[in-house]
Amino acid sequence: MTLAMDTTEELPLSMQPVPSFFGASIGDIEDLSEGKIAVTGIYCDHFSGGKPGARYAARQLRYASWSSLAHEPTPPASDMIIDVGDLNVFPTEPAKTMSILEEQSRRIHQTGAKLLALGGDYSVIPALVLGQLQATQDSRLQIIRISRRLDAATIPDPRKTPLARACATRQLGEYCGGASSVTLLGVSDVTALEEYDYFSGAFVRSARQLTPESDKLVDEIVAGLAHPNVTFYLSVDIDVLAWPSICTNSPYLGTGLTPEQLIMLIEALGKLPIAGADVTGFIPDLDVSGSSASATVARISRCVLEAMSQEVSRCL
Amino acid sequence: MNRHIDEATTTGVTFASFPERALEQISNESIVVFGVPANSTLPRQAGCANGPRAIRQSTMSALSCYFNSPSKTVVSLETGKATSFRSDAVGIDLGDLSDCNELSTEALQRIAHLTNAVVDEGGLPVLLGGDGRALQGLIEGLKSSVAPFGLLVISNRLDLPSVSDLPGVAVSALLPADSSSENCSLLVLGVNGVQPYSNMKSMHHLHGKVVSADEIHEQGTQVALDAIQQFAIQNDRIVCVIDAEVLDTGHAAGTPGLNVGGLTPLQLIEILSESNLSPQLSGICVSNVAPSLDARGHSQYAAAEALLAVLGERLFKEVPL
Amino acid sequence: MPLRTAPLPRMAGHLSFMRSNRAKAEELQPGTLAVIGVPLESSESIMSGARFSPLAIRETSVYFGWYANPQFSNPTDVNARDAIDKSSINERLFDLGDVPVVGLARSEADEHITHTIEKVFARGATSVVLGGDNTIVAPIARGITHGIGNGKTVAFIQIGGRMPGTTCAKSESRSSSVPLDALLIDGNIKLADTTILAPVGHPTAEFAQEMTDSGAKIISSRQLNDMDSDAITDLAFTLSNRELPVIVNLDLSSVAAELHGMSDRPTFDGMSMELLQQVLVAIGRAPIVTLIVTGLYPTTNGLSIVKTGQRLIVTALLGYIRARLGLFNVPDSDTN
Repeated sequence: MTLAMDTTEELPLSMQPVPSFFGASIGDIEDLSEGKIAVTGIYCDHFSGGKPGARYAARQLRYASWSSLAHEPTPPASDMIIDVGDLNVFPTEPAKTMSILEEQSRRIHQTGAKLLALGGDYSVIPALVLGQLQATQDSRLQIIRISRRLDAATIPDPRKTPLARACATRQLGEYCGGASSVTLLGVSDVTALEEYDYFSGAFVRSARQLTPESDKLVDEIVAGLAHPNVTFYLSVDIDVLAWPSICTNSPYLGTGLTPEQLIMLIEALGKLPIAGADVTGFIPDLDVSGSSASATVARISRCVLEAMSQEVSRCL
Repeated sequence: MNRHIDEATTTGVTFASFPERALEQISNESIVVFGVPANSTLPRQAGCANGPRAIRQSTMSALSCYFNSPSKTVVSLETGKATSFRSDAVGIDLGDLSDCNELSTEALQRIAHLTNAVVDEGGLPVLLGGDGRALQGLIEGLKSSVAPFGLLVISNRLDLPSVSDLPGVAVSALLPADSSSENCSLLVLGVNGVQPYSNMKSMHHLHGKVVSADEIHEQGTQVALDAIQQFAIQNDRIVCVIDAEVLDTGHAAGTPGLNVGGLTPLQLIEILSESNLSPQLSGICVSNVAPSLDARGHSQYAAAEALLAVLGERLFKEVPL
Repeated sequence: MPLRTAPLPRMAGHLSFMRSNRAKAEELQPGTLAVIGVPLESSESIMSGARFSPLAIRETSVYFGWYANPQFSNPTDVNARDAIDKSSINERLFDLGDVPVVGLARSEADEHITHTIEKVFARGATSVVLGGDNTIVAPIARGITHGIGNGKTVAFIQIGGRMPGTTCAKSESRSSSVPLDALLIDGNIKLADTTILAPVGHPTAEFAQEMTDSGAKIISSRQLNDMDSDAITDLAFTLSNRELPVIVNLDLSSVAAELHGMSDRPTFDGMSMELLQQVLVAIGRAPIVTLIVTGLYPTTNGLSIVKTGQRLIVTALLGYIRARLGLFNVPDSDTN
């Protein structure tokens, strides 16, 4: 049959593409370069015990960025942001998962781009940080960990239990030169003595000790650094929130930060040079229509992204 | 007569678009619908109180294809036959009985009283439940008004379970035993699972017959239709009970109890469509529809289709194309 | 080398339909199949949530993204005991995303839908549209008729869904939520170019007579069950042989209610899964311009049955897509 219209005529047509983080364009490693931020999902929550479900966080955060489901108007994502999809994982093989996450993180950082990992469980984050260190050869990476837990248990035999949340922060400290390379914010007032002892030389602030004056906090962190020229890795665990409607792997205790406080904290930390980041620990509702919890965590994740982008803007 | 009917209980939707009227406006041979929004009680699940409203709404949905036609006529694609919704079908909807959220002896008496009044005016009482125990009130009301009748119960059990302070009662106990009659005055279709021996034994006094759900699954609906045919020959007047719990829970979960292996909605509707009981009906009870327990809406829809099927000729007629 | 060198877990990553490649309309060509979402519903149904169907179907469809997953190198159709030819699906099946209708007035949303379909049709591609409720059928048909122009109409196959009481009533008393009514009011179809399969309920006597008088067909699900696949395919070819683009609306109400529980109108004597697959594969052999999937309400409570209903639709669509792309070795279905 004949078509009435000239097929060479280009009609303007816009489509709502499949959901991506913050509406960013979807790409792969060839789209990454210096100045870009790769946002990726982690479909893995098997290694920490506790409540499963964090593996769906990436999907729900993509939905929360979608205009059909977002609870607020979402500004368009910058061209600097690329959603590279979910990283490869092997949910039943921890050692293999650690290895492949390390490799993927290294390849992303080797392009000059930064990596923001969303969703999944904190237990896999040391693998990503290790990949970043291998790519950048950065001997002065500092870890800022926002979580209610210390996760500084003694590291077990890595051959038997290569990925365990309970020792993940200690693992990060070991990668970056010891406990003094870790800043812990938002921790609970009650913690194991051995874990607390490990971080006795580190900068630790509980949720109650975090004051509204976040700028001063940043100054305090910088003042405590052994070297002035350092870069930071920001790790945000949603369990730091005292918000009953947001489900995390840790039981709700009623103590912690509100979403607003956490956002203000992250905005203040944005003044620091952040080379990599993650947001983990969120166990979303799976209702297809989305939920306000996902929208809240998406807002927090966007704040982390903006904090990383400020560093990129300063470098460009 | 004190009607005990709530005002505006149907919230705009009446059964088959029948007008909402008072008892005094019942005419002879009219179909008189009233609701008994009584909840079941522990250990059964609550939710039946919304049954009457849900059945009314589902009936309108089921009749929509008729009302879409200017002549209220539809055509069966399989048989080619045309069926009309009778323009001369007379019916009224009395609304729902008030203050019967929990069934009690007093509530059953009010049901009986209302049923009696309907029959005295020449109407056919159709009770929309509500907990299945409401049947006891309907039967009491009919016993004092009509000639002896047979009881056709489509249910998964042989008894009416306990509710509130009322103990359970065998279905067979609702009817008087007539030792002089050899007729089967109780037919129960769709019984499923383990039943108390005492209930089975008590059926013998009424020469009762049981066709189980398994028999219907294995032999088809014809085994039920044959039993109904025999039953209809032996009983001039029939009261039909459609207990939604006869349906398999996997098909229709909106009932206070569970039934694994029950009838499918299609089997129930087919049995009633082809049984042609309408001319012999003295009363109908549709019970145990709990719409809030069935997110899919199948339970109330199946109950509505079954009720329309049993009303048969009173509502529909075949017309030449 | 791409970032990922191993297969992803099933529910991970970007959830395009069957993990197909994303594309823009400009990249489509004849012989390709575009999947488009229209997350739109009206307020006429007693159920709500149809606007989430495109998302829900995509989520479920990733279970069938095996052809994009190197782990499954030799997928086999167990029933046919035959390997599934997946060689060309990657290059021919694309997900265009959703028509952006959120926040728009209904008329504006309809224009967007019409424009999108017109553009896809202009590229010579066939499409599967994930609705939405059946009020999206009319703007889609407009897109096709705009594309062909010259006042030509389309042929229409409706599977499931409601029927009009009569087509002779005044247009203001007819309902746009009955697709056939809406298409006739628009003037985009003629009754003679219509076939209705497995409709909900019985047709009114008036409408049955109108269909008979015009030579059109209504076939119940039980009658479909007695037909063989070739006879069903012939129904579609009869319409396409009239040099009219054929559009198909598959409404979930055509399927037996106990299999899904997601339709706003339960049909106890609807199609079985097997029959639905047979019908869609048979129809897919004809040059269908677009298949519109409607009537799915994925936010209905009850997780297992809801997901079963979604899985049912996707499984059935798989057969249609393979047939439509000519992957069943049927010589007359190689082109669009």
